[in-house]
Amino acid sequence: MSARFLHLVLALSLLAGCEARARAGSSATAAGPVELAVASAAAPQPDTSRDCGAQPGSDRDRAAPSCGQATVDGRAAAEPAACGACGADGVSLASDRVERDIDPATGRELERVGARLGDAPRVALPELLARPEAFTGKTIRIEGDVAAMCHHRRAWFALQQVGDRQGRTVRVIGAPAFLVPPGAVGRRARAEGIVELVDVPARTRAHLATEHGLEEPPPPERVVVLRAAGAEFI
Amino acid sequence: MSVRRHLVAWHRDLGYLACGLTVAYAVSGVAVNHEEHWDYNRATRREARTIGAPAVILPGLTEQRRRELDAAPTAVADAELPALIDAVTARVGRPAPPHNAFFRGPDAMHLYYASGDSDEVVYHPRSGRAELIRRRDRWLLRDLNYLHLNEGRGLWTYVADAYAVVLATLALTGIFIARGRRGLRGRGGLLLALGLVVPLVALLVLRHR
Repeated sequence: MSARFLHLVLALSLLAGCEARARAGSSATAAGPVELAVASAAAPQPDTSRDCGAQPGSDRDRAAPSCGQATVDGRAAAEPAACGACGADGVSLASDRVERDIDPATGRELERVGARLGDAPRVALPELLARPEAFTGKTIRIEGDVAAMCHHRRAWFALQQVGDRQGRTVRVIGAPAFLVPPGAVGRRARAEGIVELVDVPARTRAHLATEHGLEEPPPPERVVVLRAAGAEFI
Repeated sequence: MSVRRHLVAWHRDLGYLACGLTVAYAVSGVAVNHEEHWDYNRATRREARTIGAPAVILPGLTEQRRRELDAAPTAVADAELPALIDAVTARVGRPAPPHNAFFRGPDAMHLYYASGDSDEVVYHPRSGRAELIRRRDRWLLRDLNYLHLNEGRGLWTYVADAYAVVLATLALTGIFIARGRRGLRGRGGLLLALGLVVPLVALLVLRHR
């Protein structure tokens, strides 16, 4: 009798676990896009429905934004306490699916992550770096050499204009849309996403400088990043 | 058969079942806990060599151009870059040209030889030094991290879920195995309370202060 009872309890626990998992999944997909810090909503938005699964007003929504993630007024949050130094929010929700193809432009093998690239206007990195305000909130495509990436969480990579010798980069934030493929540094890449201006907290700035060799200016100067929906690595 | 005997049997069998993954997750857990101190997935080996400034290693330069590059080693022209890449490649002993090479700042040319950045050379024109950087996945630990961090997703997600249930069952059945002074009413109870108090205090101190 008691043994049957124990088996019943175990079976019910398993069922409850599955149920909770299913609910978590459905709430994440029904949550809708998280409000991103963009100054303009005129440009088409990539699908961000998986963006952290946070619902307005939920605990996750109230939690401190991650490193490099801006708030609704376009300013990044104060120093986040709970995120990794790289600013790797949404990694657990990001897709790790890599699609392999041949790049029609170069004939070389490419790896595609996240959404397929669309027909967003191409912007050269020096132009984006020179006039970031002109592109804030807009969906654009950028291309360059991958100068650095977040190795631990694979949340972002830094693009540098081909042929540029100054080392100026734009960070492309992949998570939660996708994870950057391992070993992406040194490859050529293109990405599409929305341009954002963020304040990079001191801790993140120090980490980016020491670990990745990226110099990002301190506040009040804001840093341009691309919150990408998809990317291709060649 | 009493409830306790069932619990003991479950605890024993599930313990055998979960042993391998528990050790794997424990090792990976410690490694990942210290992510700010090291790269838990890859080991990096660095070696520095002086291979010469562009004025020295670039072949076929005129005397005037050599003097110019001597005075300003970072002023290598775009047309000279392929030759410089070839020269650096030869001097560092790589058999094939890099799959990509670009400057990260005027005095740091990065050359990538093997896939990704597993074999990277950073050449500094001013000093003529080259830093040879080889990165490789850490033996075993890379695989343990792959499982622990569920990098494969898919089916492994459900295996990991099942493991979590097994682990919880192990914890709960373990509570009731011993009785008397060593059980819940004695030392076991104290240890159980301690095990609950430590994370609670940590939450109060670290998160909710």
